[in-house]
Amino acid sequence: MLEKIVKIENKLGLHARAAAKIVTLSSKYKSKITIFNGKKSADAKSIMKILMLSAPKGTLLKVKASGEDESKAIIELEKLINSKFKEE
Amino acid sequence: MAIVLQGDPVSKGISIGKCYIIEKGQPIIKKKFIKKEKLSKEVSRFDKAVQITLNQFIILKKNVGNSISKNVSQLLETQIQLTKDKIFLNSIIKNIKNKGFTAEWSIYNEFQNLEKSFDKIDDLYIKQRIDDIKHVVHTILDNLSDKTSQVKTNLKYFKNRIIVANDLTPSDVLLTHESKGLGLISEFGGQSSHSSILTRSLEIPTVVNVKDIQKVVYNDDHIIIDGDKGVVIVNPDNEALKYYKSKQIESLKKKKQLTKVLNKKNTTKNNQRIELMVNLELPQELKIINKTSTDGIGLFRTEYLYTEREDVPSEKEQFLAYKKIVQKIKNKPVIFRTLDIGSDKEVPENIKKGSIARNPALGLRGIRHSLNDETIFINQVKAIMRAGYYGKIKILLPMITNVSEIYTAFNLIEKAKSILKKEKKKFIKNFETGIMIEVPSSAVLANRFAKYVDFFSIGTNDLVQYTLAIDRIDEEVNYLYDPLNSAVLSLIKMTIDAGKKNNISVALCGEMAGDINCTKLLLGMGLRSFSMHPSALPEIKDIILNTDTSNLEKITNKIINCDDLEQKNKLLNYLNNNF
Repeated sequence: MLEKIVKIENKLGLHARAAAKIVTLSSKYKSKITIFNGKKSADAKSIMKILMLSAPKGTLLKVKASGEDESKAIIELEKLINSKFKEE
Repeated sequence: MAIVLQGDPVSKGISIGKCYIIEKGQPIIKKKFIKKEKLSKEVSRFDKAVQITLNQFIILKKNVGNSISKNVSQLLETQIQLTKDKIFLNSIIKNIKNKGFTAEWSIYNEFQNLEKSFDKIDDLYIKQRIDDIKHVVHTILDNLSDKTSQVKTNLKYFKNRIIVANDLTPSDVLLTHESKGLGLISEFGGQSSHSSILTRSLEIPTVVNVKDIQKVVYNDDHIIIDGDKGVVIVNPDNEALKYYKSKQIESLKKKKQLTKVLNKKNTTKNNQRIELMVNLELPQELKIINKTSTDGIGLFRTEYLYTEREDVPSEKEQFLAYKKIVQKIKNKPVIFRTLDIGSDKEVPENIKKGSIARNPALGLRGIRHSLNDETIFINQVKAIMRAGYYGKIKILLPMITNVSEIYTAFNLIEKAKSILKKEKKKFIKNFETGIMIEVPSSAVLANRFAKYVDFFSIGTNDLVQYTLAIDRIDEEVNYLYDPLNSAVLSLIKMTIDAGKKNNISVALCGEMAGDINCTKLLLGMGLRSFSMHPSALPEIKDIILNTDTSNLEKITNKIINCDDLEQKNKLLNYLNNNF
């Protein structure tokens, strides 16, 4: 199992389109991926759960991945979030 | 305070009454349980609705395309992912399986849970995403809905009410009709949707595209619908009420008078037999036709089976639909026009061929579409011929422009017959096949075409457009749309004469057939068969009963040959008032 802390840097926070991108990416991997915002956690393959994390700009999130492709998954997710979801 | 709103008039008439607001999905969902043995069926019903919803979003996204609007496209991507959300879907399925809820109730339950969670979120933007989820949920519910079961549960809400909806579905319209609702208003919707066609036929006063109606009305508000002008008045003052009440009484009186003519024979004053038929676009319209006055279905449009859906209707589905119609109107002919898609009837995604034409009216439409996709055509013709076994059918081919199209289509019909023979299915072998005369070339060559076919049906709407080279929907040129143009009238006359000469019947099924200003003129031109919208029939019949056709020829020819518009209108008025 791998863990990584990331910071949400884009203006709108983890909004719908950003969440959609996380889901699209996570769904490519077999690993179970979970994102934590404090006590709240969300399956990274469920857009509703991710939205409910409610993470505005500046939030620190913990990403956990476990499974055969966990390292690839976590690297790519980190890239996506750090690129501010390729929007700004 | 009265509020006056303007929308698009869809179905004529005036209605006055209290309103009932349909909140999509709201009155329908009740706590209900499913029997254990039917649980897996319920789950697959749900799965299917989700799949349909998903496809709808995907097609929409494809249509929008990235190039048009990146924002909308991304928004749709969110909708797609919401619809695909495994956790969301699984908890609904769990509700069905473990608690025995109906799919609808399970969805509603899950949505309520989500609503509670989203309510706790501080971030306003994220909080509002519940609206996206709501949209997805409503679409799934809509795709789940079994229209017949809704009808039963809702009847009592609609009685003597004016129904206000976001967008009308055909089942809303039927429901209003069956439960004696007074009228319909919707915030969205267009004039040519299935529900608009239906409400016109059922003669329910209706106005669509009334912006903000849902914001300003509450249940039980008093409303006036003016279906002639597209005006909606919420909580009218006494003066307006008085005005519209007297108008309403007036039109009811007129209607009552007209129903008296319906029991009389379809003959003119000088005992000339005239055939009066109706045009139908949906099978539900059968309810409203007056059987004694109608000599048959002069034009049964089949497009409804192909539009507003994802897949192509099978031969069996079509057969069952056509059979019902034929059986209901037994002993009288039903003229089925084969698929006439294209031009103003936009080709739906499911049967689209080739690229989008630059000028659809001159593109792959009508018979051209059918000859381009033989399978669709053969399946349809097979279904019609099988239905013919149970009653009386004729086949009508749209948009014919040359003999070779007639020849190819006839060959395909023969091919369809031999397939049916091989399949050992019951069908009718001998029936009449005719063509639409709606392109100038076919009117000019009517005398030659008459040798190959059994009847003509003149489609004036397209004939006018193609003869005068104007698009009726184009607001900048539609002032040129004139069915009384001499060129148009000459082409109609040529077609009628060609029919007479070759002893085949000629009907006219365009809007002109239902236009009270044109009835005497057409009689004078020799037309003896009219096919029109059912609601126009009483008025047209009334005119026909009071017309003597023996002296019409001279004035008719004067009108056809008149170049001066003012003079032409004078002549027409004289004809309409004195013969």
